[in-house]
Amino acid sequence: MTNFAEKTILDIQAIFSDLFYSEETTRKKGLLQLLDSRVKIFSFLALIIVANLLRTIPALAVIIGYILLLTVASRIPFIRCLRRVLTMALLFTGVVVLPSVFNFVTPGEPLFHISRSIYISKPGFYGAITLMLRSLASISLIYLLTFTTKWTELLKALKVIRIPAPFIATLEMAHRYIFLGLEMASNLFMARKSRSLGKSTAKEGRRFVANTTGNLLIRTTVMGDQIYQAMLSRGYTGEVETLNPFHVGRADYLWLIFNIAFVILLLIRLPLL
Amino acid sequence: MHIPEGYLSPQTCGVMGAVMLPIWAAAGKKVTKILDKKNIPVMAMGAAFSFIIMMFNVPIPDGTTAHAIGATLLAVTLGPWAATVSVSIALIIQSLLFGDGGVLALGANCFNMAFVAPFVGYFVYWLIVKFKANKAIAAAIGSYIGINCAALAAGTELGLQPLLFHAANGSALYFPYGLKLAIPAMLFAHLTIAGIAEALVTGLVIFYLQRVGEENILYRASGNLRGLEQ
Repeated sequence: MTNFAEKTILDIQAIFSDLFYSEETTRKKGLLQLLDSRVKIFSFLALIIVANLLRTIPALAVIIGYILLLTVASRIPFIRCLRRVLTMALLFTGVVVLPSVFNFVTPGEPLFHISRSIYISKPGFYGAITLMLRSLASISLIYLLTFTTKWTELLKALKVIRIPAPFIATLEMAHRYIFLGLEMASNLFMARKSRSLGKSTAKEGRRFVANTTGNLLIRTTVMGDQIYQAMLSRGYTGEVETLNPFHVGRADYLWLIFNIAFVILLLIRLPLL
Repeated sequence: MHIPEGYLSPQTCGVMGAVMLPIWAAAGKKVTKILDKKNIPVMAMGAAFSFIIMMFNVPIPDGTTAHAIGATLLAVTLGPWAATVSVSIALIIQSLLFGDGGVLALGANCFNMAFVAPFVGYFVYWLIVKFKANKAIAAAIGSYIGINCAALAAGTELGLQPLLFHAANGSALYFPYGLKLAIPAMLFAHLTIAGIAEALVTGLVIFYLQRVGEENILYRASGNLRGLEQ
């Protein structure tokens, strides 16, 4: 338990480093970085829905192959991305679905006998593989989107689908202050960690986490007030105004046409396989 | 409790999203009515706070660590409607930027963690405080019940998948376990580990606020003031 502080500090650090990395890749000159963010976010949303509608393993394999191609074409650091996606999709989901492959959870035709009465059933096994591939495809699609789109661009795209402006303004502001808050939290944990000698009990640990949380709660409340005062003094009237330039080029049309064709082919042909 | 992408069918996600839309709309209206122009900064800071506490590793009695959601804590400090908006925004940022919880599953995740958890938690808290009980204990009990109701909702959404959708040969297309397995599994994890972490953190934070004399940031204690102060 002594390392709960360390764990939190490392988790927060991982967030910062992830974010730094995705900022880096959004600036690279790759295929997906060229597209208009609105076109990109809608096509990715559509692709995620398609990946979730596909029912057969070959169809899911095709879409994963397509994602791999896009990853390479967008110059995304392969190993780093792969490690994150695989731990989530295969390791985590793998553990979740493991019991479901056996006949006592999913009865059906036997595929592989472990003992006379316990065996891996065909429906259980295929169900597990389907879920793992589906999760792999959808998670990689989200990563692909965040690795190639700046947060501000992502928000701009949300404005197009008529999400109310105050909501987006809140999202924008929350995102900004999350990092300030994370830094404050990380400092608090670091201060505690560097002053700890020997072992502390779980009870002390809990008390520390709760006190830190309480302290952050007070600080964020005060900060909220200050931000509001600052906004008021700059002429904030409660209305949110946004600039919304829209630029769809030839690359975007090509991308759209290609993807629509791809998805139609995938949905119509592959279930027959 | 974040349901990842691919565990729920797109149809279920669509239904949950449709359920959340009016809730978000109502929450937005309610918060604007209570806080007026101050709504955006307050909700933004609430969301940032919610995101941050979901990062904390809380040491729990069995020697490991767990994460808290802080839904009831936010409901007790900002009011349940503002908690809904704040937790939703934290969940949206988590799913879009870090792949924690699915983007399509956002409706379901927001329903469980940003609607069920804060409202049930706040209701229980409000009920207990009415009987002149200590606010820290009331909040702890509220958060424990709130998070378990959220787990029940998540277990139900997941457990419905094999009943509603399966391939021709009977193999599961989405989450493979039925209600009989999904609900007990979710509830067991939250009745023991996650629920205890949530209750301890919520109770201790309120206790801390009382001790340092900052109880005034609790909702209701200053609820009327909030609407008027400018």
